[in-house]
Amino acid sequence: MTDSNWSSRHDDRNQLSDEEFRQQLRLFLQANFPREWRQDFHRPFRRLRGPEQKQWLRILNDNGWRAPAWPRHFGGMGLSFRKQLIYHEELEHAGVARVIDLGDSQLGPTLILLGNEQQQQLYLPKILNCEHIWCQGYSEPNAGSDLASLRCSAVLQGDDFVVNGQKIWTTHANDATHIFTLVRTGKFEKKQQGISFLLIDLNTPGITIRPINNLAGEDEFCEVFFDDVPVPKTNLVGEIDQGWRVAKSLLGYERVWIGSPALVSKALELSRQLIELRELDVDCGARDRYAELCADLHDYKLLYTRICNQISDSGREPGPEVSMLKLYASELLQRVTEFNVQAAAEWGGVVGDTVIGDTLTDLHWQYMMARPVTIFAGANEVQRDILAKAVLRLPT
Amino acid sequence: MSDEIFSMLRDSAEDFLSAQVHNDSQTGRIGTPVLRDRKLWAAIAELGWLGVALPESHSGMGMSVDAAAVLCEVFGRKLFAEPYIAGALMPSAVLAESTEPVAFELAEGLVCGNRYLTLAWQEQAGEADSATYATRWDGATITGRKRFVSALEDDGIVLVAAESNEGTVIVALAVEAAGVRYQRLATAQGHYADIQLDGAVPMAPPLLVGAVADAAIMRAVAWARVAASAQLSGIARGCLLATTDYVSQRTQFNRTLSAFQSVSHRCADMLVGVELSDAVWRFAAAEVSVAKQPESLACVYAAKARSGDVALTTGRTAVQLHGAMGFTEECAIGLYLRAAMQYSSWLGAPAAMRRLFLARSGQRDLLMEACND
Repeated sequence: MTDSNWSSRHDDRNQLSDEEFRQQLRLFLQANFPREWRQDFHRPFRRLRGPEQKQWLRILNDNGWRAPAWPRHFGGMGLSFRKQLIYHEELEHAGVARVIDLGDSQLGPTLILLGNEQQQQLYLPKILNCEHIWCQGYSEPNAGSDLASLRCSAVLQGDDFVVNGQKIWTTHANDATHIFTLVRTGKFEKKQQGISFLLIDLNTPGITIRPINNLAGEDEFCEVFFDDVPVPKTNLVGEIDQGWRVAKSLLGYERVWIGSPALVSKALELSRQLIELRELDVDCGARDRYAELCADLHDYKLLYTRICNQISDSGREPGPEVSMLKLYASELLQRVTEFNVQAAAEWGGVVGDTVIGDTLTDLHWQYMMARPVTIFAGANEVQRDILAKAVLRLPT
Repeated sequence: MSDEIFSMLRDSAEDFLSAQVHNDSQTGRIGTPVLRDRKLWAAIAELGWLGVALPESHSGMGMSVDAAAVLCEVFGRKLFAEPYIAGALMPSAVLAESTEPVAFELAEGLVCGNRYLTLAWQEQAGEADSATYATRWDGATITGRKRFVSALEDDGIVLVAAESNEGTVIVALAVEAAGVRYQRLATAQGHYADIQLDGAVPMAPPLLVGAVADAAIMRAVAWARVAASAQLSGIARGCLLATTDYVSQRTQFNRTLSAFQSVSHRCADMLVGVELSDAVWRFAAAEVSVAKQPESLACVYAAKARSGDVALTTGRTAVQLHGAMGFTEECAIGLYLRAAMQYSSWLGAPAAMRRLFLARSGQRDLLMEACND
């Protein structure tokens, strides 16, 4: 990138001390994050999407708080890993609703690492200003945890790839303008070879998007069908047939962010509230279970911090040990949401909004929204395989 | 305390224990109360370990409980059976606070390994945090009953906490003194002694009197909990390593056991437990070593609860994964489980520790309030 205006638009916050950085961000969030979008007992894992998501991301972008991990000369904040952790901690602390911002978290870093200059110049600014909203097209009906078995094909014909096949579990495809995909471009002995990383405009003729309702009743993810979809060959990122490496380089970071203790903290605040509302303080069983969950979160935060600090201090990519984070955080989240449903007694059977005492909750929603966390981004069974093979070095 | 000193301590402990500790010496004594192995005790005195947590004024190395915990983690991994925490660390927390001549003398004997000390404070099961005693000091003699005392030698010295007209006192008493009777119950690597004191006369005037005595006991218990957490964490890690070795070698149905997900996934879960336990005791050790009132720190209770649970779970899973061999005494894997039973029950079992964790982590203890209404 050569646009010096763009890169020098904001101060280099990486130069601040950790504490100054934290204070600045805290003040910014207090002043700028809309109160009505905060996470609360009704929506402890609230996510923004569509126009609300765009509005919030633009506020971040206009104030130089967007894309914490991107280098500054690409328009990001250029934060060290340690400051990224503080960034996420402060968002959590302020109850800022989550966003699924794959342009920032996935595609941007990929283009910065492996994209060519034209691709960087074309796409990165439009990610930052939300002109483009990206979704991720990896999974297929027969390629979930076993992602390398994917079959959606791209065949080069002249200046275009012609894409045919289907993607599934594409989160928020119905809000997106573009999709980054893994497609099969060749057949080799190893199925990880012959996969390419391709960028596709969702307005291209031949694409059909069908939302799928999830167990919580939201149209969170979609099926995306490709029927002779022409994609310019300039949209190939990295080398042809080498897309697996492109995608895999980001999986470690994904597990670190999914492993964040933030959601568990929110769910456990709801537990505390339910204990008070239902006067369960005198119930030894409920108290002991609550104490166990609190201790689990306490200890997990220490492990999370330690592993994050090791990554930060070493300057290396996250190793296979981050599977522990995804594994434990997701299962703890489920245990806390299960406690909440049990603590609510009959209220736990209500599907939808309900008011307990003076508190608006939706226990079914938090319970169901905790389900997929053990499934996506590598099912927990796969994470256990990774720990056994790559950390404990057990022979198979 | 610098990381470099810690790694030196850890390395020297690993070298020494790999050469000196043989698990076969622990077989054939299930249910038998065990005393110090005096040769080993003298050897670790020689290495300076017994005085790690004593100040230099008291013949010690002037380090803190975090250094002792580093050693205890290795003790756990290597199944080192000497009662380091009860016999060196806890007496150190008391002696360090006393300026009585006898305290300096005892500290020197402790560090040299020729005086065998222990601390007797507890009187009931599960009363890990009571600071009141039925044992009485009348100014000349001591009468009462102490329970769950580890590391009691027939020719040793027991530091006894008692009530007096001036509040809590701690006196040093020769185990051989008239009016001292005791019985030992076996634990995995040592014993719990039940001590009856009937007008026993201590060696000297009280070491500590009043609030400073209470604070010393609280500190000794908090230190011991953190060190026991480190030891339990080491027990769990040693047990996990032994198990992954075994399932990587043993073949059934023409496959190594580790090729079965039912086996490898349990190993993965053990790993997560061990790493959680490791993260929390290290944090607690660092906090406790600089805290004025370590008993007020929630992380101490979290560490003791986690490490106890993890060591027991790992021990049981390991026995299962060793199959029938795991149920035999000659297979060392059971030693880890038995050691876990000792250190998880002593100084507060996991469930009790979690209640105290909750109470100390700034949350109002509404149950206690309700009970007191």
